[in-house]
Amino acid sequence: MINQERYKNIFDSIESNSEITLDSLNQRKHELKKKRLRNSLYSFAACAALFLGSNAVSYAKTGEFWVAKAFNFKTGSGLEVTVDNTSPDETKTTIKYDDANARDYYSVENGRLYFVFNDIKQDITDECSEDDYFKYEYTDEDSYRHVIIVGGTVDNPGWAEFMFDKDGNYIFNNMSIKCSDSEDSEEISATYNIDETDNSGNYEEDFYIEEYSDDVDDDITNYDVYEYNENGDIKEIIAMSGEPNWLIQAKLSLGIPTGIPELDFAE
Amino acid sequence: MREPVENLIKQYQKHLFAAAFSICGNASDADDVVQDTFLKYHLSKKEFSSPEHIKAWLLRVTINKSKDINRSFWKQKSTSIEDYVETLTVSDEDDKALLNEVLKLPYKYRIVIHLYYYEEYSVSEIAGILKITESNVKTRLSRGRSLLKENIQEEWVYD
Repeated sequence: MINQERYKNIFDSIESNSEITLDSLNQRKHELKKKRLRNSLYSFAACAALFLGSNAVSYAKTGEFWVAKAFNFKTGSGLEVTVDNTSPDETKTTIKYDDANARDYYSVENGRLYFVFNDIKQDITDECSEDDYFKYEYTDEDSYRHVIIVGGTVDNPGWAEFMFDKDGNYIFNNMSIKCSDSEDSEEISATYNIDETDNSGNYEEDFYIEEYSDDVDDDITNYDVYEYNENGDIKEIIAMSGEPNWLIQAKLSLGIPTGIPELDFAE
Repeated sequence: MREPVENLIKQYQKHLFAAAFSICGNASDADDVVQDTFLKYHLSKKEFSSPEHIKAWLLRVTINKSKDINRSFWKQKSTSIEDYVETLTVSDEDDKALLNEVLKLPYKYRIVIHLYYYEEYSVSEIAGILKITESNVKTRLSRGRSLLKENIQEEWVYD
């Protein structure tokens, strides 16, 4: 049997259990409107390495697993990092993030945007815009410093939370933002000082801007900036299409490392 | 031209599911992707030049949406690929091994491998769908095959 037949037979044998109808599509449309749009700008591997390397993380051995300390955000979402050392040949790190019951750090009422945190409810409408944000900081009982950013407009707000350990090292982020559907590639190129697009698939380059379009005929409307390792696997996402400017500005002001030390962020 | 979405569902659901599965690596995410792809078509007013154009567009949207899911690092589906493959209706052990290795490939290789071997698109057609150069397609096909050959100790014919 030739390879092509074999490949086709294998994928033909995997069946969908989903019945798609017009009714199911309309139901899906309704569900998507209510879905929380989330985005994370940091990779699994980088997050795990920083989080587990943090001085503030403690470990407890449970059975055969080493379980890193679980962390619960004030939004109600939770993070648990598990390190499995049972195999002599490899260490497996799993990150579980649960935001099923998570809340936002803001609310919108009567055309005004409020910062909401514990007992705080503060009108921040005039401090926020597409380019500006409100910032709130606190230190938790484990000495993590949290910087909460709320930005955007009343019609399109978002928030991000950045965590730092007691030595000031950036560890992790948690956020809820809505990315725009399209972005001018020249704007992002200017922000990250990337002059040209490389679609050659040359993985020896440090950075690769992947551009894609939903339409095979239209000009490219979406793109992401990745850092690849030598195997062609994603090492880190530097920026994602549609990232709002208030978030970019907040990251710059906090000195969040991007792994691109030579880039000029001045804007 | 436009086709009613119900016709496209009958004609292409299996194709889109296979493409989504090859990237997402699990049926649940693939189902979501396929639903969203047909929904996008259903809500779009775009006109197409031919049935082939419609199919290429559907595949392109499916691929993009599958990549979006893979980029969501906070996926809660943490079953290993090997455990998941065991739950599928692939009876032959060699086929399971092949499927395991395909799903472990970086998705950039998986996409071109799938479009080439399952959808039987040519290199130039794949380049058009993915908006990359033909040279890039050949590079990704070559690297994907090399990895498969290395991992399953089998030669993949360069057609």
